[in-house]
Amino acid sequence: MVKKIFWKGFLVGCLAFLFVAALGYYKLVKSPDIALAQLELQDLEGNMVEMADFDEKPLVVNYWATWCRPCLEEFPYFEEVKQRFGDDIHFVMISDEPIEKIGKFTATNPYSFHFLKSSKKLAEYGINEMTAIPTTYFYDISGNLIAKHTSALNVERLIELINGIH
Amino acid sequence: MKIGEKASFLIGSLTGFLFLLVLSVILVLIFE
Repeated sequence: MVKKIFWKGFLVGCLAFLFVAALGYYKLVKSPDIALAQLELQDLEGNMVEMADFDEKPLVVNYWATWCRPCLEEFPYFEEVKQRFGDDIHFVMISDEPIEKIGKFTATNPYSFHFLKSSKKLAEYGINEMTAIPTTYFYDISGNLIAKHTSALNVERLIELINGIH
Repeated sequence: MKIGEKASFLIGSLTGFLFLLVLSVILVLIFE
């Protein structure tokens, strides 16, 4: 009898974990669909930037932060892939940190991406900074969101996702 | 429910929760 009750409890415990895990995933990790028109951006000189300025090419948008280690670890992969695709694709890296901080990073890490500052906090787009960056969005030539990926990417997966918009 | 049964249910729940927690951590470490 006691054994049977233990297994009933075990089942309830498993279900409780699945519930907590699903709730945590949807609240903390899952990234929302973000339309390009929603973005409010500035370049590193403080000028407002419209995402329409990046038209006529597929677009890879990466949300990152200077303190986020996985974000920094995937940048060399992005650079490698960018060199491979040449000017066929725009790579836009967006952080909501102060421009000075982003500028300091780009000065010491001369990557060839477009680094932009988001005027809004990433949380306002529904991206949880502590758990959902790095996150990367892939838009086709018409600006339609085709794919998104939360967590760091490697070269193979990045190429695979880019092939979906290229 | 007797106290022994309650305790058994509670221990079972805790074991089930921790079992899936450990399992998911292992899976994340393997596939990440």
